[in-house]
Amino acid sequence: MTVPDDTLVERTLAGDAAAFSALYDRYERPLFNFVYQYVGDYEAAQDIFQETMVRAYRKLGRYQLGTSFSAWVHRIAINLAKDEFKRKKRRPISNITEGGDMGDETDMFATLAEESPGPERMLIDKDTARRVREGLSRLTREHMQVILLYVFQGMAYKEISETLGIPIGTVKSRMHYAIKELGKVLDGRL
Amino acid sequence: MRCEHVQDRILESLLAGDAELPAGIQPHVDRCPECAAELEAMRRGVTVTRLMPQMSVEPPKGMKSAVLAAIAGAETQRTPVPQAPRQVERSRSLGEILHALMLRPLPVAAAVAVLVIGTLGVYAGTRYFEVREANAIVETVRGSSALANLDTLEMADWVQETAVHRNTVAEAKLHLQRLGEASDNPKEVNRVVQGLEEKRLVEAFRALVHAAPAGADQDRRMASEVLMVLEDIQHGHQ
Repeated sequence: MTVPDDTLVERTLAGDAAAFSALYDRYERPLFNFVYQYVGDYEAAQDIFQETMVRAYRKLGRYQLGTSFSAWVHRIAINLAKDEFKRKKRRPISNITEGGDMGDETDMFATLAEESPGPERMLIDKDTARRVREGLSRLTREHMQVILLYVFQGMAYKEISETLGIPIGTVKSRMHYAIKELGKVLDGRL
Repeated sequence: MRCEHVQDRILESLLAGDAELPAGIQPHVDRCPECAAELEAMRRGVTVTRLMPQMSVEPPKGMKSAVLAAIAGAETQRTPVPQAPRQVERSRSLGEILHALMLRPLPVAAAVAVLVIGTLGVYAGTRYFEVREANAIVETVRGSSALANLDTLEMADWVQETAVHRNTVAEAKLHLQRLGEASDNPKEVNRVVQGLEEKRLVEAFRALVHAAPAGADQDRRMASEVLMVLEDIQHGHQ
């Protein structure tokens, strides 16, 4: 039986280093992939992920037991990613913008499709991967957050709502829009 | 049935991986070209989401040890240790922070005073705030645009961490020792914690209680509570 996150948090706060190690193991792959897909940069994803986990540890006392640890730690990652975007004026991928208007046309995902940035587990062919990334690159950051939390974290609407601090209705509408946008881009090509 | 509702149900069904649309939805789609088009668009979109996990990447090897090393405060070549918030918060001496707080306008000073005394209570080992109490105060400060400023947020963070993690006298002493080691002015920290600042604080809060303007009952009450704690601490040292 899986030990609940909250139990691991409590044990960590009580000084049990193994408990934090277990929390880390649980979140390493999904959270790293979330960050990587969000920022579209393997190097930046490493930095953001590392700092996320360090901050999560140091601020663990502020996590409120009974809420969602997953939502809490993802909020930290998203905020750090936003800081990174601001600091380096780096876009998460391609022409994504906060407000929805399209910015420059540099297609980072297209580049990533050609040059695998890390030990990527490419279970689909490169052409399909490139198309998927093209689809993602058309989304705003807000829409991408919802999609990535759903896909990589398996979060339900409610947990996405908690993570992003937005109403469930907004999560639904963003999901609806994002799914349709992805579908349009790949229309007839998959 | 409204198209908006139908489209919501379609998306839920597709995301859930259902083989068929929910009862009552398919007939609507059959006679509604708009919803039929939505269904196809969403099917393609959901297909894409099913492909995305297959593009997952491996986290770099050694990431975990780098994170744990950073937590432990060790330097690594790959991972510069992130500046610990606690260290940032304590870049100024406690005496400087207290002094700054004493110069705040009354409502801010009164609210922050609770934080100050909460912390002092822990360090003096005579009284400390319960975790829930500390959290409530901290959230009040954080949520108030009038109260939230560099000093109050700094102190709020400090009190919360202290209250959550250090709720025994023994732990408070250990924490004090660490604080002294981390501070750029450990003597000042010790001096304050040992109660040498308390007389000044008592006088300040007595003044606050008497000077609270009409209508500022809450400020007056908070200042009174602070004063009582301060006097307790003083008596504990005598």
